[in-house]
Amino acid sequence: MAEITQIEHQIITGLLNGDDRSMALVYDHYGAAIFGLCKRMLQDVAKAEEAFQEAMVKIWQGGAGYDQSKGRLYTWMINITRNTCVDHIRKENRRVQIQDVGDDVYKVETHHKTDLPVDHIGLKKQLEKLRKEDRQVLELAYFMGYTQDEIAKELRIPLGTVKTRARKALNELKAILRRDIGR
Amino acid sequence: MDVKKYIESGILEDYIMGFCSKQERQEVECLSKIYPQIQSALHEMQDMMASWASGSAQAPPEHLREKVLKNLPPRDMPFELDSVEEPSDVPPPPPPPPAPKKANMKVLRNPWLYATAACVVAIIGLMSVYQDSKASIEDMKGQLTVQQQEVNELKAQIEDLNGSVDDKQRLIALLSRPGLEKIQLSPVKEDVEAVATIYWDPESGETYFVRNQLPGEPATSQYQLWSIHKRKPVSIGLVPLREGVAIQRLDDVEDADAFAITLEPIGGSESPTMDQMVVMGKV
Repeated sequence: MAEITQIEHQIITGLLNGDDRSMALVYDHYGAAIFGLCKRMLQDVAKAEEAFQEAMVKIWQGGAGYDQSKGRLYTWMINITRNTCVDHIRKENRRVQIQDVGDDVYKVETHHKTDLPVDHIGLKKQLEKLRKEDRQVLELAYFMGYTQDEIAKELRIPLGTVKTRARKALNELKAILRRDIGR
Repeated sequence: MDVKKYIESGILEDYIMGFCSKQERQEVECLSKIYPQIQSALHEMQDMMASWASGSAQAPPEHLREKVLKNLPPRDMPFELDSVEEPSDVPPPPPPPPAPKKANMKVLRNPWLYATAACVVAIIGLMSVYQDSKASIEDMKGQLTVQQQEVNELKAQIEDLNGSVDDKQRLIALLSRPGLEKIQLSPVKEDVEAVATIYWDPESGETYFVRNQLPGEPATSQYQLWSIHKRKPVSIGLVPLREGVAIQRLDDVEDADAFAITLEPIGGSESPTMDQMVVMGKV
Protein backbone atom coordinates (compact mmCIF):
# COMPACT_ATOMS: atom_id res chain seq x y z
CA MET A 1 0.00 0.00 0.00
CA ALA A 2 1.19 3.44 -0.88
CA GLU A 3 2.26 5.74 1.90
CA ILE A 4 -0.25 8.08 3.41
CA THR A 5 0.27 11.71 2.47
CA GLN A 6 0.30 14.46 5.06
CA ILE A 7 -3.16 15.64 4.07
CA GLU A 8 -4.57 12.10 4.20
CA HIS A 9 -3.09 11.67 7.66
CA GLN A 10 -4.66 14.91 8.88
CA ILE A 11 -8.02 13.99 7.46
CA ILE A 12 -7.99 10.45 8.84
CA THR A 13 -7.01 11.66 12.30
CA GLY A 14 -9.70 14.32 12.24
CA LEU A 15 -12.36 11.89 11.04
CA LEU A 16 -11.47 9.37 13.71
CA ASN A 17 -11.54 12.06 16.41
CA GLY A 18 -14.78 13.59 15.23
CA ASP A 19 -13.07 16.86 14.33
CA ASP A 20 -15.29 18.46 11.69
CA ARG A 21 -12.40 20.57 10.41
CA SER A 22 -11.28 17.38 8.69
CA MET A 23 -14.28 17.74 6.40
CA ALA A 24 -13.05 21.13 5.28
CA LEU A 25 -9.84 19.41 4.23
CA VAL A 26 -11.84 16.72 2.44
CA TYR A 27 -13.83 19.40 0.70
CA ASP A 28 -10.81 21.39 -0.37
CA HIS A 29 -8.66 18.47 -1.48
CA TYR A 30 -11.16 15.95 -2.78
CA GLY A 31 -14.35 17.96 -3.27
CA ALA A 32 -13.77 18.38 -6.99
CA ALA A 33 -13.21 14.66 -7.57
CA ILE A 34 -16.27 13.80 -5.49
CA PHE A 35 -18.52 16.39 -7.07
CA GLY A 36 -17.18 15.63 -10.54
CA LEU A 37 -18.06 11.97 -10.09
CA CYS A 38 -21.57 12.92 -8.97
CA LYS A 39 -21.99 15.14 -12.00
CA ARG A 40 -20.62 12.49 -14.31
CA MET A 41 -22.89 9.79 -12.95
CA LEU A 42 -26.07 11.81 -12.54
CA GLN A 43 -25.61 14.21 -15.46
CA ASP A 44 -27.57 16.88 -13.67
CA VAL A 45 -26.16 19.69 -11.52
CA ALA A 46 -29.02 19.78 -9.00
CA LYS A 47 -28.96 15.99 -8.58
CA ALA A 48 -25.19 16.06 -8.38
CA GLU A 49 -25.30 18.69 -5.61
CA GLU A 50 -27.77 16.61 -3.67
CA ALA A 51 -25.71 13.43 -4.01
CA PHE A 52 -22.53 15.35 -3.22
CA GLN A 53 -23.94 16.61 0.08
CA GLU A 54 -25.20 13.16 0.93
CA ALA A 55 -21.83 11.59 0.17
CA MET A 56 -20.04 14.20 2.31
CA VAL A 57 -22.29 13.39 5.25
CA LYS A 58 -21.62 9.67 4.76
CA ILE A 59 -17.88 10.32 4.68
CA TRP A 60 -18.15 12.33 7.89
CA GLN A 61 -20.24 9.71 9.65
CA GLY A 62 -18.43 6.69 8.24
CA GLY A 63 -15.07 8.29 8.96
CA ALA A 64 -15.44 7.37 12.63
CA GLY A 65 -14.80 3.77 11.66
CA TYR A 66 -12.34 4.28 8.82
CA ASP A 67 -9.17 2.26 8.77
CA GLN A 68 -6.69 1.32 6.12
CA SER A 69 -8.27 -2.08 5.63
CA LYS A 70 -11.01 -0.21 3.79
CA GLY A 71 -8.47 0.95 1.25
CA ARG A 72 -6.89 4.27 0.47
CA LEU A 73 -8.77 7.25 1.86
CA TYR A 74 -9.41 8.70 -1.56
CA THR A 75 -10.64 5.37 -2.94
CA TRP A 76 -12.82 4.83 0.08
CA MET A 77 -14.43 8.24 -0.40
CA ILE A 78 -14.91 7.64 -4.11
CA ASN A 79 -16.54 4.29 -3.34
CA ILE A 80 -18.95 6.03 -0.98
CA THR A 81 -19.71 8.67 -3.56
CA ARG A 82 -20.20 6.18 -6.35
CA ASN A 83 -22.54 4.06 -4.26
CA THR A 84 -24.53 7.12 -3.25
CA CYS A 85 -24.96 8.00 -6.92
CA VAL A 86 -25.89 4.41 -7.81
CA ASP A 87 -28.58 4.60 -5.14
CA HIS A 88 -29.91 7.81 -6.67
CA ILE A 89 -29.91 6.35 -10.15
CA ARG A 90 -31.74 3.20 -9.08
CA LYS A 91 -34.14 5.03 -6.80
CA GLU A 92 -35.23 7.26 -9.62
CA ASN A 93 -35.02 4.47 -12.15
CA ARG A 94 -33.22 6.98 -14.27
CA ARG A 95 -30.62 6.30 -16.84
CA VAL A 96 -28.54 8.88 -18.53
CA GLN A 97 -28.00 8.44 -22.19
CA ILE A 98 -24.94 6.46 -23.04
CA GLN A 99 -22.28 8.75 -24.29
CA ASP A 100 -19.08 8.02 -25.96
CA VAL A 101 -16.17 8.57 -23.66
CA GLY A 102 -14.41 11.67 -24.82
CA ASP A 103 -11.12 13.13 -23.79
CA ASP A 104 -12.81 15.82 -21.74
CA VAL A 105 -13.42 13.35 -18.91
CA TYR A 106 -9.73 13.17 -18.22
CA LYS A 107 -9.30 16.80 -17.31
CA VAL A 108 -7.89 16.87 -13.83
CA GLU A 109 -7.14 19.89 -11.74
CA THR A 110 -3.50 19.90 -10.86
CA HIS A 111 -3.80 19.95 -7.09
CA HIS A 112 -5.84 16.75 -7.01
CA LYS A 113 -3.14 14.83 -8.71
CA THR A 114 -0.87 14.46 -5.70
CA ASP A 115 -3.39 12.54 -3.59
CA LEU A 116 -4.53 10.07 -6.18
CA PRO A 117 -3.64 6.42 -5.61
CA VAL A 118 -2.85 5.92 -9.29
CA ASP A 119 -1.07 8.31 -11.58
CA HIS A 120 -4.02 9.63 -13.52
CA ILE A 121 -1.95 10.83 -16.44
CA GLY A 122 -0.55 7.36 -16.90
CA LEU A 123 -4.00 5.93 -16.45
CA LYS A 124 -5.42 8.22 -19.08
CA LYS A 125 -2.92 6.95 -21.59
CA GLN A 126 -3.64 3.36 -20.72
CA LEU A 127 -7.38 3.85 -20.97
CA GLU A 128 -6.91 4.96 -24.51
CA LYS A 129 -5.26 1.65 -25.24
CA LEU A 130 -8.29 -0.34 -24.22
CA ARG A 131 -10.72 -1.53 -26.83
CA LYS A 132 -13.59 0.88 -26.99
CA GLU A 133 -16.21 -1.83 -26.42
CA ASP A 134 -14.38 -3.14 -23.36
CA ARG A 135 -13.98 0.33 -21.92
CA GLN A 136 -17.64 1.03 -22.57
CA VAL A 137 -18.68 -1.85 -20.32
CA LEU A 138 -16.55 -0.42 -17.50
CA GLU A 139 -18.07 2.99 -18.09
CA LEU A 140 -21.62 1.73 -17.95
CA ALA A 141 -21.09 -0.44 -14.91
CA TYR A 142 -18.87 1.77 -12.84
CA PHE A 143 -19.88 5.29 -13.81
CA MET A 144 -23.49 4.80 -14.85
CA GLY A 145 -24.48 2.20 -12.28
CA TYR A 146 -25.79 -0.22 -14.90
CA THR A 147 -26.35 -3.81 -13.85
CA GLN A 148 -24.97 -6.68 -15.86
CA ASP A 149 -28.42 -7.35 -17.32
CA GLU A 150 -28.94 -3.74 -18.28
CA ILE A 151 -25.59 -3.58 -20.04
CA ALA A 152 -26.36 -6.77 -21.95
CA LYS A 153 -29.66 -5.31 -23.13
CA GLU A 154 -28.27 -1.88 -23.86
CA LEU A 155 -25.35 -3.15 -25.90
CA ARG A 156 -27.24 -6.18 -27.21
CA ILE A 157 -24.56 -8.60 -26.19
CA PRO A 158 -24.83 -11.89 -24.26
CA LEU A 159 -24.84 -11.63 -20.49
CA GLY A 160 -21.59 -13.57 -20.18
CA THR A 161 -19.86 -11.24 -22.62
CA VAL A 162 -20.51 -8.33 -20.28
CA LYS A 163 -18.49 -9.96 -17.54
CA THR A 164 -15.83 -11.16 -19.93
CA ARG A 165 -15.29 -7.69 -21.31
CA ALA A 166 -15.22 -6.06 -17.88
CA ARG A 167 -12.76 -8.59 -16.51
CA LYS A 168 -10.57 -8.34 -19.58
CA ALA A 169 -10.52 -4.55 -19.50
CA LEU A 170 -9.72 -4.36 -15.81
CA ASN A 171 -6.97 -6.93 -16.07
CA GLU A 172 -5.40 -5.28 -19.07
CA LEU A 173 -5.46 -1.96 -17.34
CA LYS A 174 -3.95 -3.45 -14.24
CA ALA A 175 -1.20 -5.19 -16.18
CA ILE A 176 -0.34 -2.07 -18.14
CA LEU A 177 -0.24 0.06 -15.01
CA ARG A 178 2.04 -2.40 -13.27
CA ARG A 179 4.40 -2.55 -16.19
CA ASP A 180 4.39 1.04 -17.36
CA ILE A 181 3.84 2.98 -14.17
CA GLY A 182 5.65 0.65 -11.87
CA ARG A 183 2.96 0.11 -9.33
CA MET B 1 -7.84 -22.10 0.04
CA ASP B 2 -6.05 -21.31 -3.21
CA VAL B 3 -5.97 -17.53 -2.96
CA LYS B 4 -4.29 -17.10 -6.33
CA LYS B 5 -7.03 -19.03 -8.09
CA TYR B 6 -9.66 -17.09 -6.24
CA ILE B 7 -8.17 -13.80 -7.37
CA GLU B 8 -7.85 -15.07 -10.94
CA SER B 9 -11.42 -16.33 -11.00
CA GLY B 10 -12.70 -12.87 -11.88
CA ILE B 11 -14.86 -12.49 -8.81
CA LEU B 12 -12.98 -9.36 -7.71
CA GLU B 13 -13.57 -7.68 -11.08
CA ASP B 14 -17.24 -8.59 -10.79
CA TYR B 15 -17.27 -7.08 -7.33
CA ILE B 16 -15.77 -3.80 -8.51
CA MET B 17 -18.28 -3.57 -11.34
CA GLY B 18 -21.24 -4.42 -9.12
CA PHE B 19 -21.98 -7.68 -10.93
CA CYS B 20 -21.92 -9.78 -7.77
CA SER B 21 -24.88 -11.11 -5.91
CA LYS B 22 -25.26 -10.01 -2.32
CA GLN B 23 -23.87 -13.32 -1.16
CA GLU B 24 -20.85 -13.08 -3.44
CA ARG B 25 -20.27 -9.53 -2.31
CA GLN B 26 -20.26 -10.57 1.33
CA GLU B 27 -17.94 -13.41 0.43
CA VAL B 28 -15.43 -11.06 -1.22
CA GLU B 29 -15.56 -8.64 1.71
CA CYS B 30 -15.10 -11.41 4.21
CA LEU B 31 -12.24 -13.13 2.36
CA SER B 32 -10.47 -9.83 1.78
CA LYS B 33 -10.33 -9.40 5.54
CA ILE B 34 -8.88 -12.87 5.96
CA TYR B 35 -6.42 -12.93 3.07
CA PRO B 36 -4.18 -9.86 2.59
CA GLN B 37 -3.50 -10.88 -1.02
CA ILE B 38 -7.18 -10.69 -1.85
CA GLN B 39 -7.51 -7.35 -0.10
CA SER B 40 -4.49 -6.04 -1.94
CA ALA B 41 -5.79 -7.18 -5.32
CA LEU B 42 -9.16 -5.65 -4.58
CA HIS B 43 -7.68 -2.35 -3.46
CA GLU B 44 -5.48 -2.21 -6.51
CA MET B 45 -8.48 -2.32 -8.82
CA GLN B 46 -10.50 0.03 -6.65
CA ASP B 47 -7.65 2.51 -6.67
CA MET B 48 -7.47 2.22 -10.42
CA MET B 49 -11.17 2.94 -10.88
CA ALA B 50 -11.11 5.73 -8.32
CA SER B 51 -8.25 7.37 -10.19
CA TRP B 52 -10.20 7.00 -13.38
CA ALA B 53 -13.09 8.73 -11.62
CA SER B 54 -10.82 11.66 -10.80
CA GLY B 55 -10.66 12.29 -14.51
CA SER B 56 -14.04 13.97 -14.32
CA ALA B 57 -13.15 16.19 -11.36
CA GLN B 58 -15.07 19.42 -11.34
CA ALA B 59 -15.09 22.01 -8.58
CA PRO B 60 -18.44 22.10 -6.78
CA PRO B 61 -20.43 25.35 -6.89
CA GLU B 62 -19.23 27.98 -4.39
CA HIS B 63 -22.39 28.00 -2.31
CA LEU B 64 -22.05 24.31 -1.50
CA ARG B 65 -19.01 24.65 0.72
CA GLU B 66 -20.77 26.44 3.55
CA LYS B 67 -23.93 24.42 3.08
CA VAL B 68 -22.08 21.13 3.39
CA LEU B 69 -19.69 22.03 6.18
CA LYS B 70 -22.25 23.79 8.36
CA ASN B 71 -24.81 21.05 8.06
CA LEU B 72 -22.80 18.07 9.16
CA PRO B 73 -24.90 16.03 11.58
CA PRO B 74 -23.59 15.30 15.07
CA ARG B 75 -21.41 12.26 15.28
CA ASP B 76 -23.22 10.69 18.21
CA MET B 77 -26.12 9.68 15.99
CA PRO B 78 -26.14 5.94 15.34
CA PHE B 79 -24.81 5.17 11.93
CA GLU B 80 -24.52 1.94 10.06
CA LEU B 81 -21.06 1.90 8.58
CA ASP B 82 -21.84 -0.80 6.08
CA SER B 83 -24.38 1.46 4.44
CA VAL B 84 -21.61 3.64 3.08
CA GLU B 85 -19.65 0.77 1.65
CA GLU B 86 -22.13 -0.58 -0.86
CA PRO B 87 -25.16 0.64 -2.76
CA SER B 88 -28.32 -0.08 -0.83
CA ASP B 89 -30.05 -1.32 -3.92
CA VAL B 90 -28.51 -4.67 -4.69
CA PRO B 91 -28.31 -5.48 -8.39
CA PRO B 92 -29.84 -8.76 -9.48
CA PRO B 93 -27.52 -11.74 -9.11
CA PRO B 94 -25.47 -12.53 -12.18
CA PRO B 95 -25.80 -15.85 -13.96
CA PRO B 96 -23.49 -18.66 -12.85
CA PRO B 97 -19.93 -18.56 -14.20
CA PRO B 98 -18.99 -20.66 -17.24
CA ALA B 99 -19.05 -24.39 -16.66
CA PRO B 100 -15.29 -25.10 -16.50
CA LYS B 101 -14.83 -22.62 -13.68
CA LYS B 102 -17.98 -23.54 -11.85
CA ALA B 103 -16.63 -26.60 -10.10
CA ASN B 104 -13.49 -24.75 -9.20
CA MET B 105 -15.38 -21.82 -7.71
CA LYS B 106 -17.58 -24.14 -5.78
CA VAL B 107 -14.57 -25.32 -3.84
CA LEU B 108 -13.05 -21.90 -3.58
CA ARG B 109 -16.18 -20.31 -2.18
CA ASN B 110 -16.62 -22.89 0.47
CA PRO B 111 -16.35 -20.50 3.46
CA TRP B 112 -19.48 -18.73 2.36
CA LEU B 113 -21.19 -21.89 1.38
CA TYR B 114 -20.54 -23.03 4.91
CA ALA B 115 -21.80 -19.71 6.26
CA THR B 116 -24.91 -19.95 4.10
CA ALA B 117 -25.39 -23.56 5.09
CA ALA B 118 -25.04 -22.52 8.73
CA CYS B 119 -27.70 -19.85 8.24
CA VAL B 120 -29.98 -22.34 6.52
CA VAL B 121 -29.44 -24.80 9.36
CA ALA B 122 -30.13 -22.03 11.88
CA ILE B 123 -33.31 -21.05 10.05
CA ILE B 124 -34.40 -24.67 9.84
CA GLY B 125 -33.62 -24.99 13.54
CA LEU B 126 -35.69 -21.92 14.36
CA MET B 127 -38.48 -23.16 12.14
CA SER B 128 -38.29 -26.51 13.90
CA VAL B 129 -38.48 -24.78 17.31
CA TYR B 130 -41.35 -22.72 16.02
CA GLN B 131 -43.09 -25.83 14.68
CA ASP B 132 -42.43 -27.65 17.95
CA SER B 133 -43.82 -24.72 19.93
CA LYS B 134 -46.77 -24.57 17.59
CA ALA B 135 -47.29 -28.31 18.00
CA SER B 136 -46.98 -27.97 21.79
CA ILE B 137 -49.56 -25.20 21.81
CA GLU B 138 -51.83 -27.34 19.63
CA ASP B 139 -51.29 -30.26 22.02
CA MET B 140 -52.08 -28.06 25.01
CA LYS B 141 -55.17 -26.78 23.23
CA GLY B 142 -56.20 -30.37 22.59
CA GLN B 143 -55.56 -31.28 26.22
CA LEU B 144 -57.56 -28.28 27.36
CA THR B 145 -60.44 -29.35 25.14
CA VAL B 146 -60.29 -32.88 26.54
CA GLN B 147 -60.13 -31.53 30.09
CA GLN B 148 -63.02 -29.19 29.36
CA GLN B 149 -65.01 -32.18 28.11
CA GLU B 150 -64.13 -34.08 31.26
CA VAL B 151 -65.23 -31.12 33.39
CA ASN B 152 -68.49 -30.98 31.47
CA GLU B 153 -69.01 -34.70 31.94
CA LEU B 154 -68.31 -34.37 35.67
CA LYS B 155 -70.74 -31.47 35.85
CA ALA B 156 -73.35 -33.60 34.10
CA GLN B 157 -72.66 -36.46 36.50
CA ILE B 158 -73.03 -34.10 39.47
CA GLU B 159 -76.27 -32.82 37.99
CA ASP B 160 -77.38 -36.42 37.49
CA LEU B 161 -76.40 -37.25 41.05
CA ASN B 162 -78.25 -34.21 42.30
CA GLY B 163 -81.18 -35.30 40.17
CA SER B 164 -81.04 -38.82 41.52
CA VAL B 165 -80.89 -37.45 45.07
CA ASP B 166 -84.00 -35.41 44.27
CA ASP B 167 -85.62 -38.50 42.74
CA LYS B 168 -84.78 -40.57 45.78
CA GLN B 169 -86.14 -37.90 48.10
CA ARG B 170 -89.30 -37.81 46.03
CA LEU B 171 -89.37 -41.59 46.06
CA ILE B 172 -89.01 -41.64 49.86
CA ALA B 173 -91.75 -39.04 50.14
CA LEU B 174 -93.94 -41.16 47.85
CA LEU B 175 -93.29 -44.34 49.70
CA SER B 176 -94.09 -42.63 52.97
CA ARG B 177 -97.50 -41.47 51.68
CA PRO B 178 -100.40 -43.34 53.20
CA GLY B 179 -102.67 -45.21 50.77
CA LEU B 180 -99.95 -45.73 48.11
CA GLU B 181 -99.80 -49.21 46.67
CA LYS B 182 -96.56 -50.70 45.42
CA ILE B 183 -96.95 -53.03 42.48
CA GLN B 184 -93.82 -54.98 41.53
CA LEU B 185 -93.64 -55.77 37.82
CA SER B 186 -91.88 -59.03 37.01
CA PRO B 187 -90.65 -60.52 33.75
CA VAL B 188 -93.18 -62.47 31.74
CA LYS B 189 -90.48 -64.52 30.10
CA GLU B 190 -88.20 -66.62 32.20
CA ASP B 191 -85.02 -65.83 30.32
CA VAL B 192 -85.35 -62.08 30.73
CA GLU B 193 -84.06 -60.30 33.79
CA ALA B 194 -86.20 -57.27 34.38
CA VAL B 195 -87.66 -55.45 37.35
CA ALA B 196 -89.82 -52.32 37.53
CA THR B 197 -92.17 -50.83 40.12
CA ILE B 198 -95.46 -48.98 39.90
CA TYR B 199 -96.66 -46.83 42.78
CA TRP B 200 -100.39 -46.18 42.54
CA ASP B 201 -102.79 -44.30 44.77
CA PRO B 202 -106.24 -45.79 44.04
CA GLU B 203 -107.97 -42.86 45.69
CA SER B 204 -106.30 -40.02 43.86
CA GLY B 205 -105.36 -42.06 40.80
CA GLU B 206 -101.74 -40.80 40.93
CA THR B 207 -99.42 -43.34 39.37
CA TYR B 208 -95.60 -43.39 39.39
CA PHE B 209 -93.14 -45.59 37.64
CA VAL B 210 -89.70 -46.58 38.92
CA ARG B 211 -87.37 -48.15 36.43
CA ASN B 212 -85.41 -50.48 38.62
CA GLN B 213 -83.89 -52.71 35.99
CA LEU B 214 -85.18 -52.90 32.49
CA PRO B 215 -83.07 -54.14 29.58
CA GLY B 216 -81.89 -51.45 27.19
CA GLU B 217 -84.39 -50.70 24.48
CA PRO B 218 -83.57 -51.65 20.88
CA ALA B 219 -82.83 -48.59 18.75
CA THR B 220 -86.25 -48.63 17.11
CA SER B 221 -88.30 -49.42 20.22
CA GLN B 222 -89.56 -47.71 23.35
CA TYR B 223 -91.06 -49.03 26.55
CA GLN B 224 -94.76 -48.28 26.94
CA LEU B 225 -96.71 -48.62 30.21
CA TRP B 226 -100.20 -49.96 30.44
CA SER B 227 -102.84 -50.20 33.10
CA ILE B 228 -105.12 -53.16 32.68
CA HIS B 229 -108.63 -53.11 33.97
CA LYS B 230 -111.03 -55.93 33.20
CA ARG B 231 -108.57 -57.17 30.58
CA LYS B 232 -108.63 -53.86 28.83
CA PRO B 233 -105.22 -52.22 28.49
CA VAL B 234 -104.95 -48.45 28.62
CA SER B 235 -101.74 -46.64 27.76
CA ILE B 236 -100.56 -44.62 30.71
CA GLY B 237 -97.25 -43.39 29.34
CA LEU B 238 -93.99 -44.01 27.51
CA VAL B 239 -90.70 -44.52 29.28
CA PRO B 240 -88.40 -41.75 28.17
CA LEU B 241 -85.54 -42.97 26.00
CA ARG B 242 -83.09 -41.12 28.16
CA GLU B 243 -81.72 -43.39 30.78
CA GLY B 244 -81.33 -42.42 34.39
CA VAL B 245 -84.85 -41.31 35.14
CA ALA B 246 -85.49 -43.00 38.44
CA ILE B 247 -89.09 -42.01 38.91
CA GLN B 248 -91.69 -40.94 36.44
CA ARG B 249 -95.25 -39.79 36.90
CA LEU B 250 -97.71 -41.54 34.63
CA ASP B 251 -101.25 -40.74 33.64
CA ASP B 252 -103.71 -41.05 36.51
CA VAL B 253 -105.32 -44.45 36.76
CA GLU B 254 -108.79 -44.73 38.24
CA ASP B 255 -109.14 -48.49 38.18
CA ALA B 256 -106.55 -51.16 37.53
CA ASP B 257 -106.21 -54.88 37.96
CA ALA B 258 -102.69 -55.01 36.71
CA PHE B 259 -99.89 -52.96 35.17
CA ALA B 260 -97.63 -54.03 32.32
CA ILE B 261 -94.80 -52.76 30.17
CA THR B 262 -94.36 -53.68 26.53
CA LEU B 263 -91.74 -52.83 23.93
CA GLU B 264 -93.39 -50.81 21.18
CA PRO B 265 -92.20 -48.86 18.18
CA ILE B 266 -90.85 -45.45 19.16
CA GLY B 267 -93.77 -43.19 19.96
CA GLY B 268 -95.88 -46.02 21.29
CA SER B 269 -98.87 -48.00 20.05
CA GLU B 270 -102.57 -47.72 20.59
CA SER B 271 -102.72 -51.24 21.92
CA PRO B 272 -99.96 -53.33 23.44
CA THR B 273 -98.06 -55.85 21.37
CA MET B 274 -98.63 -58.82 23.59
CA ASP B 275 -95.63 -60.85 22.54
CA GLN B 276 -93.43 -57.87 23.37
CA MET B 277 -94.58 -57.66 26.95
CA VAL B 278 -91.53 -57.45 29.19
CA VAL B 279 -92.89 -57.17 32.71
CA MET B 280 -96.28 -57.31 34.37
CA GLY B 281 -97.61 -57.07 37.92
CA LYS B 282 -100.99 -57.58 39.43
CA VAL B 283 -102.50 -55.14 41.88
